[in-house]
Amino acid sequence: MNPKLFIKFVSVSFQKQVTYRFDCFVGIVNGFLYVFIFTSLWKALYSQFDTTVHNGYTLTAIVTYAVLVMAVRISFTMDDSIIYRKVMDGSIAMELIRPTSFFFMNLAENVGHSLFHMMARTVPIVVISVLLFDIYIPLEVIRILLFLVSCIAGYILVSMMNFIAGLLSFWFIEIFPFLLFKYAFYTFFSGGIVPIDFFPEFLKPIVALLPFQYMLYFPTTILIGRASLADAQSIIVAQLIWIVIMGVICHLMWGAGKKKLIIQGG
Amino acid sequence: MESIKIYLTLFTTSIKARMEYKASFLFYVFAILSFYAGQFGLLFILLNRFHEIKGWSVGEMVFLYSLQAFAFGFTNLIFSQLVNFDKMIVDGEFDRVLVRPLSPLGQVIFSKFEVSTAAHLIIGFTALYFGSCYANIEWTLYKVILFPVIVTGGVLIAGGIRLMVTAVAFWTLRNRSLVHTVIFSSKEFINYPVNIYNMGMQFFLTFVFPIAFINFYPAHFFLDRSGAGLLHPSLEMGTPIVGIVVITISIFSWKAGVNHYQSTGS
Amino acid sequence: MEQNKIAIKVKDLSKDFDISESGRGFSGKLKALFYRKRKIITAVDGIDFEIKRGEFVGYVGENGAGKSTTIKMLTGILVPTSGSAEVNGIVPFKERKKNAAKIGVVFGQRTQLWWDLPVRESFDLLRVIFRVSRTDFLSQIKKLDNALGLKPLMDMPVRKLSLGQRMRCDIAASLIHNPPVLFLDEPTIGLDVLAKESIRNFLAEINRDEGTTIILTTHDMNDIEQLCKRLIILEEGKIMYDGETELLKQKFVHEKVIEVEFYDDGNTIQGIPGVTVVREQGCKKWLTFDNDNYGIGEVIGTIASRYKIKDISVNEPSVESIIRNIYNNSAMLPTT
Repeated sequence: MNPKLFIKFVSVSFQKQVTYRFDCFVGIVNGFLYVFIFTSLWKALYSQFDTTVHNGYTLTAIVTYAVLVMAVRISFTMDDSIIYRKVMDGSIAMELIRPTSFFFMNLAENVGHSLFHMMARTVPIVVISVLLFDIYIPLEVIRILLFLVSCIAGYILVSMMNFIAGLLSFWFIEIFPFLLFKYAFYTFFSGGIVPIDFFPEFLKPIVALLPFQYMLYFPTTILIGRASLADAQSIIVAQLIWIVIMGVICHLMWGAGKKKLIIQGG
Repeated sequence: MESIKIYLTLFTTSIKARMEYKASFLFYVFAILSFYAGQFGLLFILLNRFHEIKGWSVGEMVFLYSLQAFAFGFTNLIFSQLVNFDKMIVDGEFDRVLVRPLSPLGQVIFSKFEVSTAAHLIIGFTALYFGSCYANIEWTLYKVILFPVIVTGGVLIAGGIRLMVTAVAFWTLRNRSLVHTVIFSSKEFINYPVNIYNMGMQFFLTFVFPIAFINFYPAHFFLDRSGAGLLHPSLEMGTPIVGIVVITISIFSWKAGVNHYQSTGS
Repeated sequence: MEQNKIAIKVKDLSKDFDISESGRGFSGKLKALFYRKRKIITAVDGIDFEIKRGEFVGYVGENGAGKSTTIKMLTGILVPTSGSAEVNGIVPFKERKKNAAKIGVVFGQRTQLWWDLPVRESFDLLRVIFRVSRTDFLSQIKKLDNALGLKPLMDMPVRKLSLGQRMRCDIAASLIHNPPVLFLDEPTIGLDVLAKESIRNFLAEINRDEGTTIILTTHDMNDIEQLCKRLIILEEGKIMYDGETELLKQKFVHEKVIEVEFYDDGNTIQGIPGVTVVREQGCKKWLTFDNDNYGIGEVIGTIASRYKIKDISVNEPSVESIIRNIYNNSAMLPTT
C-alpha cells in the first residue's frame, strides 16, 4: 500500500476520534481507574508479607508493570467492530473492488485510532502515574528502542487478532460473543493484568503456545528491565514468527471470506 | 392497572423479539461465562500466590463476587436498553418514544430485556454456593430473608447509576465512553474488597459513588466479619436505603434530561 | 355533538436552538477539544396558521427551513421557545401523552415497527399501547388491509419487508387508534413510482372518507400537487406562502412559457412585445411572456402570423419549479 495513502487514512481516522471530546476526557478517567485499582491491589497484596520480592518483582517493579502494561494496552485500543459494521451495511463489497489492500487499510484506521488514544489517554495517564506512584524505568537508549520495535510488533499482532475476529462476521450474524471471548482471552493470557511470571506452572505451557503474551507482556518486560537486552532480541524474533503465522491466517480467512461474499452476494 | 397490562405486553414482546435469535442467545451466555472465567482465573492466580487479599480469604472473596454478580445480573436484565441509549438519541429513535401515550422511561426500559443475563445469575449462584461452603457461612433465617433485600438494594444502586449516566446522553448525545466507564469499568472496583484502596477512594465508593454498598458492606453482615477502615457497623445494612436514594435521584435526572431534550432537540 | 372545526391552531410559534460548532481539519479539531463557538439559530420564527378538520396540507421548505421542528412541536417532542400551539384543542408540549393518543405520526426514515417481529405483533402491541379495544382494532385492521393490501405482509418480520411494504405497514400502524390528525414526515422518500402511487391513493382516500386531517412534509412536489389542496411554504423559519396550491401559480407566476417548434431553425424571434427567448434547441424554441399584461391568444396569434409553426404548446410550470423559483428568484425554465 502506498505510504501516502496509508498516512491519509491514519489522519482521517484520528480526526474522527477527536470529534467526541467528551469521550476523550472520560477515556482518561477510565484508563486511570484501572491503573488505580491494580496498583492498589498489588500494594495490598505485597503489604501482607515481610518478603519484598515475589516471583522476581519488587513492589516498585510490579507497580511499574501494572502502570505500563495498562499504558501499552490503552495505546493499543482499536475499534474491533469495524469489519462487522461493514459487513452489516454491505459496504464490505466496496473493499473488493478497491485497489488497496483491505488489511492495510484496516491497519491504517486502527493506527489513527491508537495514535489518538496514545496522545489523549496514555500520555496523561503515564504522567499522573509517575507523579503518584513509585515507578522505575531504566533509561537506556537501546532498551527503549528495542521496546518500541517490540511494541510495534505487538501492535501488529493485536491488529491481526482483531482482524481475524472481525472476519468472523462473514460467517456469523452476531460477533459480539466472539469479541467478548477474544477480550477474555486477551486480558487473561496477554499478561494485561497479572504478569505471566505469577501464573501457576500448569498454565505456562498453554501460555507459551498462544500469541497473546507477545502482545503486551513481553514488550512491557523489555521496558521495565525484566528482560535482558539479549532476551529482548529473541522476543522480537518470536514476535516476527507470530506475525508470519497470524498473517497467513488473516490471508487465508480473508480469501475464504471474499469467496463467500462473491458466491452469496453478502 | 391498565399500564401494568401494557408493560406486561411490552415485556413479553421484547422477550419474543430476543428469542428470534436463539442460537446467538446460547452463544452469548457461553461468552459471558468465559469472560467471568477469565476474571475468576486471575483472582485465583493471585489468591494461589498470596492466599488472601487484605484479610479476605478465597471463600470470602467468592462470596463478595456472588453479591456483585447477582446485582449486576439483574441490573443487566432490567436496564439493558440503557447501555445503547445514546444511539436512540442520535438516530432520532427517542422522538418515536415521545409520540406514544406512555412514559418514556417505561418504554425505553421495556423495549429490551437482555435474557443472556442468565449467565450472570449462573455465576451468582455458583459463587454463592462455593463462597458459602469455603467461608463457612452460617445461613440463619434472618440472613436468608435479608439476602434478596440486599440484592434488590444492589440492583437499585447499580440500576440508578446506570440511569443517571444514561441521562447524560440528553446533554452530550454520544456518551458511550462514559457509559462504559461508569457501568462496566467501575465494576472492577468491587471485584476486590474496598479496604484495599486508600481512604479517599473508600470515602468516594461509599458516599459519592456508593457501589461499595453492593457487596462490600453487606458482605460483612453475611460473613459475620467485623469491619475495618471506613466501615461503621451501621453501614452493613445501608444497601436498601442507599439504593432507594440513588434510584430516586436518577429518576429526577432522567426527567431533567427529557425536559432538556424537549427544549433543545437532538 | 358540537365538534370544534379547528384541528390545529398555531400562534406566533418560535423555536431557537443553541448550536456549538466543531472545528474543521486537523488543527481545528484539536482546538475544538478545548473551545467551541456557540451560536443561536432560530429554526422556526414566529409562525401562525390554522388548519381545519379534514384539510390536507402540504408543509414544504428546504432542508433546515423549520419543517421538522414545527412537526416536532406539534407532536409534543419539542417544547417551543415562545408562542402557542393546539392540536385537537390540546397543547402538545403540556399534555404530551394526551396529545399522542389523538395523533398519528409517520417518520419516513424511521420505522415505528419492531424490527425483529412479524408486522402482526407490532400492530397488536400498538393496539395495547394506544388502548384500543379489540373490536375496534379488528375493524380498523380490516379497513386498512382492504386499502393497503396488508394481509400478505402480516406474518413477515419487519426487517424482511421492502421499503414500500414497510411504509404501507408504518402508515397503517400510525392509524391503528384512528387518530383525527395525521402527521407524515417524508412518507414517500426512497420509494419507487408504484409504491408512491399506492401510498398517495391511500392518503387521499382516508382524507376523503374518514375526514382525517393530514399534514404532509415532503420533498416530492408530485405528492403536493396530487394530494394537498393547501400548501404552506417555509423559508428560514418563516411562512412564505400559505394558501391554495392552485393559487400559488397565480401569485408567483408572472410569466408563462411557450414551447414552439418551427419548420426550420433559422428563425430569429424579435419584436414581439413582452416576449423573450429563453432557450433554443434546433427547431425548438422556448419563449416566455409576461402574462399579467399580454393575453396568451394575442401572443400565439402574432407568432403564428409571422412564422411557420409545426407545433406549439403552453407549459404550466410545475409546483416544484415555482417553489424553486421562489427560493432562487431566478428565471423559470421548463424542466426538460
